Amino acid sequence: MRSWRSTLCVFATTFALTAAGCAHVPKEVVELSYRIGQDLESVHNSYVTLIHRHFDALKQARIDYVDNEWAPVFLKDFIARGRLVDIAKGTVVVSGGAFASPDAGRQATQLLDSVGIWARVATAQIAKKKSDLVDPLNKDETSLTSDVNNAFDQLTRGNATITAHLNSLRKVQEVQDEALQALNLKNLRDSINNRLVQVSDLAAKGLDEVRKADKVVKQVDSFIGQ
Amino acid sequence: MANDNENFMTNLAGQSADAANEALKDRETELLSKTASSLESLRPRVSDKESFDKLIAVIKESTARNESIAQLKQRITDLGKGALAVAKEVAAIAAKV
Repeated sequence: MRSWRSTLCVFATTFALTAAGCAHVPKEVVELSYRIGQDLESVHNSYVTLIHRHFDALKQARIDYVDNEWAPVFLKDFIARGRLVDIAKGTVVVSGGAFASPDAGRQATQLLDSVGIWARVATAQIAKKKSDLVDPLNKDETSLTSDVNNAFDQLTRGNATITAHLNSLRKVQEVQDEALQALNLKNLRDSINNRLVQVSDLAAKGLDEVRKADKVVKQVDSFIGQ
Repeated sequence: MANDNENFMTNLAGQSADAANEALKDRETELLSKTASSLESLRPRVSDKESFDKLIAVIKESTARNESIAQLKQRITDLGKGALAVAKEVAAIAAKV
């Protein structure tokens, strides 16, 4: 039984090594990837808040324009065109869809009705102007927020996929380590990996030397050419 | 009757609004320009979803393969236990024969 299990273990080792190679995957890389996923969510919230603040400022500038510049010009014209002063004096009322003289005995009621209509219509007109200027910004804000949400969803999904993949590599490496440990080969693998790193470093240094030498040759060549 | 009065006054207010718009035309153009949302420059330009999804699908497939390898040890252990149980059952049946 023991021998059968050992054989399977060797098979598992060979299979795992073939499948995942000998690269080292530190657990920190999984943790870093996971943290990036969490930080992405925080950056997302911050981004959306900035969008709302940006649009709030734009909308407020347009509302201020209506309140402080457009409404006074509109009201000045509407006070004259709507004969507010005459209505207030009681010399004219709105009756039958036109200006008319007040009916005897109903002056007070007609005056109140007319002033009420004038005020309601003026308020509605100012609100409509604000809406005309602010609605396009609301539409843009909704569209941009939706695009940003979709972009962050995509990034989060991509990062989660990478995190899961890195984690799976870690798991494979653990299985490899256990299998190699059982066969007393783990040190051999680590040793090979370390040697590969050393050779790679040496190759890099060698390349630097070659580059330096090439530069000197070019300088000498240029000197001779003069 | 009340509606007639309301419509009459609304029509006058519309004329006043047109007059205000005309008087402030340049100022309003300037305001709209200064408070434009600059939507296109703010919109994030990320990879298109289709190619992104294709990449994710390939990585997920590879992840599943790795997970399967990682579960190998447990499966082998389970397989060993199963085989041992079957062997015991076979031995028990053989003893009865």
